[in-house]
Amino acid sequence: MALDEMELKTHLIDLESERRVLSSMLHSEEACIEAYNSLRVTDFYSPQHGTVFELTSSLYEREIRPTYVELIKEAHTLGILTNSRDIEDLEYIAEHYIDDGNIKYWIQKVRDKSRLRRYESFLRTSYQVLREESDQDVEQLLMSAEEELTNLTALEIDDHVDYPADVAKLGYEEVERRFLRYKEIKELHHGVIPLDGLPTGFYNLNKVTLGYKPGDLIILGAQTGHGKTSFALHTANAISIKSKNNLLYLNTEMSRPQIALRWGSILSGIEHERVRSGEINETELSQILKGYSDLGESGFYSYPCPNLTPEKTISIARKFKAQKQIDIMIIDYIGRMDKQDPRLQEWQVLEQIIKTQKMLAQNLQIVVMCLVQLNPDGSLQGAKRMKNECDLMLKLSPITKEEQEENEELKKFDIMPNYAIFVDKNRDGQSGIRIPIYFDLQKQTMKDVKRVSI
Amino acid sequence: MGLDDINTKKLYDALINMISNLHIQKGLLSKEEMHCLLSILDLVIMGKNDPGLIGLLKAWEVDKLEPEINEIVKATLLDFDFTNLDSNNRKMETIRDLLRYNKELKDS
Repeated sequence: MALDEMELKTHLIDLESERRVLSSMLHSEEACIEAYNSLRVTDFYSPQHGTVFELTSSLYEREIRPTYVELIKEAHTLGILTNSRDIEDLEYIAEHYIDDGNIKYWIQKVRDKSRLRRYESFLRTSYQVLREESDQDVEQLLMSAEEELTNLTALEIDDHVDYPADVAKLGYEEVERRFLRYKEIKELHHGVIPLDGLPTGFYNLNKVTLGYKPGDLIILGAQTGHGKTSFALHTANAISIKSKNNLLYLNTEMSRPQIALRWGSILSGIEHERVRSGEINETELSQILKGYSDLGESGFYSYPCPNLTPEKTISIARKFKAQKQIDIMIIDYIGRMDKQDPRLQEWQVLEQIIKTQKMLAQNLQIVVMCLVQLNPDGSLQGAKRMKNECDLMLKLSPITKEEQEENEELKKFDIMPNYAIFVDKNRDGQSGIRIPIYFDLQKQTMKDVKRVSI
Repeated sequence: MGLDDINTKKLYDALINMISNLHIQKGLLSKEEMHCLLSILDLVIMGKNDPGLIGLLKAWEVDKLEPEINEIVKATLLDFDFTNLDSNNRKMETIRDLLRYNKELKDS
């Protein structure tokens, strides 16, 4: 049965739950912490309730225990809630006592109503757009609607608390799993390490990381023209073509034909310049055809998107996770994403994007790899904060001619390495390691170098 | 003490409302007096770290004080920094001295 306007309003508003949450915040520190971490001021329908929540939160942020007394003092200092009607309202809020143990229940009720109101507002706006704009780009209209709707459900914070017994159980299971794996390595694989996650495409990087694991955020930094896209496609080759896992590749710079052509040389081993100009013979053409046939049967999904925003990555990733069960998403590269707030500095935007991507990786249980641009001196703006968020931070850089000539270690490989991957951070293992590789610029391919002498 | 049971919560809220109304509705308390009383209420009910102020207040038997001393004690209390109780040692010492002096006056 359809609801009329009044009924709909009752359906969307729950002032009693709002009062109960606020009352509990004023009477119990634990309840206050719980509500502060779970709610936003916009979750409250009543503006006055929003004000009380804001004041209480502000006291908590300044490490003042947010009691009813402190709330009144704070409000008076700010010159608000100063008339007798306000005091009556506060009194009414305060007397909505609850058992502090039930705070999560009331918080959930406030949150649910708030989400329903956002959903209702989305429906109203969409209907308005539909009525007003006669000449519409349908694809664009549906895409933005999907994006907005996805963000209503996306990135809910997972508030799971591990009790001592949970931590102990988890710890034992992890050790047991590793023990069994070690046994397996010795007995079945003759010392070759099986991976915990997706292959990296490099033997030594596999050894250091045990593969890219679900929930991991990986940052790969390189300077302009130093192989970011080649690294991304090398990773894509290892994961989606050789291992047949599903991968989503978001590119903010290259067009569809450019991406498709890159694969031609990567999969055939023919110089990219010749593939691009068509200067190839029949044998090479059939080699390329074979490569593309492998690509056609792979799990590589490409999404060229010049106007990518963090919100759009969430919506696209959720869609591909649901429809194609992707295991990894590669964003090439995040410096090119559109700024949502022009007042923010570049590094602040990058930091926000990185935080969003980490949450996305954890919520969808996929690997997210972000490619970022390094400064000419090899540093990365806001690197410390980014490093805090990510699970693995890699830096790709060329090895100079001088080093190739002077470093005796580099001469011990089957091919002279010309690039190196530096493992700057590795949450699950060793970091500070430099892995030499060979990057064939003509063929746009990367490969391991093997040590042939000690 | 803390707000563990509903009766304490009710008592706490009722006292807050009474103190607030004495300032807002009736104008019998100044803003500073209201703040001071509310802070003392929090100190008593919420069991905040009390450096000995409650004990001093109990000793402050207003009717037995010389009016001038009474005013000085009140002014000192209104000047208290309740956000950092430990920083009020000198003010508490002043009140203690005044109470002692008043007792000596009465005894002599």
